[in-house]
Amino acid sequence: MLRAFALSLLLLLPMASVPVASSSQPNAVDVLENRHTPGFPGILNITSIGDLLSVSSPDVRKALEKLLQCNTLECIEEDEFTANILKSILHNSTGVDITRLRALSDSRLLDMIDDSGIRSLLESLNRTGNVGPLEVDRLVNELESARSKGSISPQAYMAALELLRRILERSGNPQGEVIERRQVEAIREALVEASRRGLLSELLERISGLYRESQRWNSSFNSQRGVFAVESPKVGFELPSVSPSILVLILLASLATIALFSSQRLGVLIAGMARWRKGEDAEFRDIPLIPRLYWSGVRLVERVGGARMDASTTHREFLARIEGKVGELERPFKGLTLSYELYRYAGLSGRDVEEQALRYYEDLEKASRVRGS
Amino acid sequence: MIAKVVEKASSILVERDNEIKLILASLLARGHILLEGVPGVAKTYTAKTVASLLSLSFKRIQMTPDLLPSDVTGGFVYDQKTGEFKLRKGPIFTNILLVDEINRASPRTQSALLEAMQERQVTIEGVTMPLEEPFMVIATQNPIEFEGVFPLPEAQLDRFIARVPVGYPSTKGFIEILRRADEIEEAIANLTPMVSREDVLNAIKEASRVRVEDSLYEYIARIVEESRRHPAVKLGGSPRAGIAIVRLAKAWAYIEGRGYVIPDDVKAVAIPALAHRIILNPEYEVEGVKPEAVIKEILGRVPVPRP
Repeated sequence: MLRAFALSLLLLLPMASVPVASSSQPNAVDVLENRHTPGFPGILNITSIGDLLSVSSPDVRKALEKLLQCNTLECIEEDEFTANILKSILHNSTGVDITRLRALSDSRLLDMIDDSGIRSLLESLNRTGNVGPLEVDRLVNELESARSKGSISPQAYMAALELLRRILERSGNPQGEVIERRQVEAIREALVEASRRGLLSELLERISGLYRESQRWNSSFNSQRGVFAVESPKVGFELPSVSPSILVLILLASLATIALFSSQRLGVLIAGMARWRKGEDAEFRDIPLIPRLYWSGVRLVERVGGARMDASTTHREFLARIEGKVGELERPFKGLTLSYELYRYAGLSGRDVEEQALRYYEDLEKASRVRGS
Repeated sequence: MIAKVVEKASSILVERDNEIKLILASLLARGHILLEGVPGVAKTYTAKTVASLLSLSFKRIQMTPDLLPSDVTGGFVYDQKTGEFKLRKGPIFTNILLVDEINRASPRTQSALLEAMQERQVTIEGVTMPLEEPFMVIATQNPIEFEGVFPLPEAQLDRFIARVPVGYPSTKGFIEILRRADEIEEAIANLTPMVSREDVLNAIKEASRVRVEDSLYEYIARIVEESRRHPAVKLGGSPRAGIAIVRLAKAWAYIEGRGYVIPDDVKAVAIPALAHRIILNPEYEVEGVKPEAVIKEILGRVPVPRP
């Protein structure tokens, strides 16, 4: 899932909007760098493609995976450590403090909503408690429309969803669950968006001439821009509405990227990216079931045990290395390792062997879930 | 069966499990082994213990500079009663030959012995006689002495499938040896064979049939090739070195009770099978770099078969 998440970032790259620094924050790259949280080498440090490829902190990876698996905020908050990492990432990259939002009173949430139309709709729903499907649909449509236009800040958007969720929950409306899922989706999207902007900044910085050009063009967009005001830290991101100038800029940036392809540094980065994509994607694809299960198991155990299986490590050496470090995962992983060995080196195959390996893998996953929770 | 021999020998000798296993692996791989170590680290005891547990003929030669080739191979002697020359077989006509301090023998005697090791036959006065299977030479040598010794040339070292450095025991092991010294000596003297010659021959056959997955051949080839490319190495492993690794790995897997080789087997035998076949560049040698360290570094770098 994490792979899909990271790949989506790469695929979105060419379509990403151009970040433009506000007048109070003239250098967007500096701003982005200041947003990094020491000790969290994960998503917040993604200002280059190379960084994206090296999101290797097991804790951050675990947190991101949790986020991708969850449909409710409770699920995210199940594991305190994971929740804290996620909260920190989210807060530092988007300014949204989900814990604070959850703790605020209804009136404070209403105060945060900067779109008057949506605020009045929510006020009315809150007062009357009349929350039929039509009203909810209308409000959600308004909310999404405001968000897509950029007329509502991420905090206000999240606050509106939180208030709507509470209203629906109080009235016993099952749509509350849908809204909660939407909240989780919004968190994911916010993180993706934050990373995407970081990546594009990096590319634009590399194409320095074009980047300066984009800053010069910035002033002409000021009149039409939508503003994402972020409370903490004080970072202003301005997303210009799509115009021919933007398209020209993106085209120029793409051309310059291709020109830089031959430069050593970018070449290395792109080669790394290709290796990563090939490696990560092809790692488990097109290989028989038992090795696939084994390598998935290795990744799982690596995350839990903190040990890395490098290229020259044998399966038994890795097993010995994690002994006593992964608790309940050890027994099924041992079984899975043996299944892999028998399949790979003893030439054993067949349904029984596969079923056995599958059982070990399922036990391993279960044990990892128990450990995670 | 062979695993039982390992267990028994390991219960007598302190901290010699690896050496015992390598001696047996060399036997199953139809090779010869060189135990190298300073005096007093139980090289001879180890060889004797293993040999005593196998129901095979066992002889020992103490090499000295004045030993002649015929003292090893034997020769024709005149029988006054019958008036004929009769063949008197030398100690090489045995299943297991312990050659103590091989580097004390003259090059002439060494080469007579090493030729027999390679050909598994002895030619005396034009008469060629095959040596009985199984045939294994367990040679020992002291690498420290330079006076009155004739170090084996690299080409002759290559005849040994493995060279095992026999080091000092750990402090804990040393204390145990001090405590049990008499008991160990007595146990070795009273050992009775556990495995018959037929069992050993069967084990050799079975070990040769151990499965080696194709990617492991590639893995072994890469290790040997890397030994040739290493900057510290003047002369790296030959194809014979690769064959030695394959055979030893199969035997190692067999001793471990497996019918298939895994990369761990290759790693376990790579150093004993390769280190004595490598010649280091003088500048590295002067700095104290050991071939074992070079192989270890190579093993830590060459990727094991994936997925």
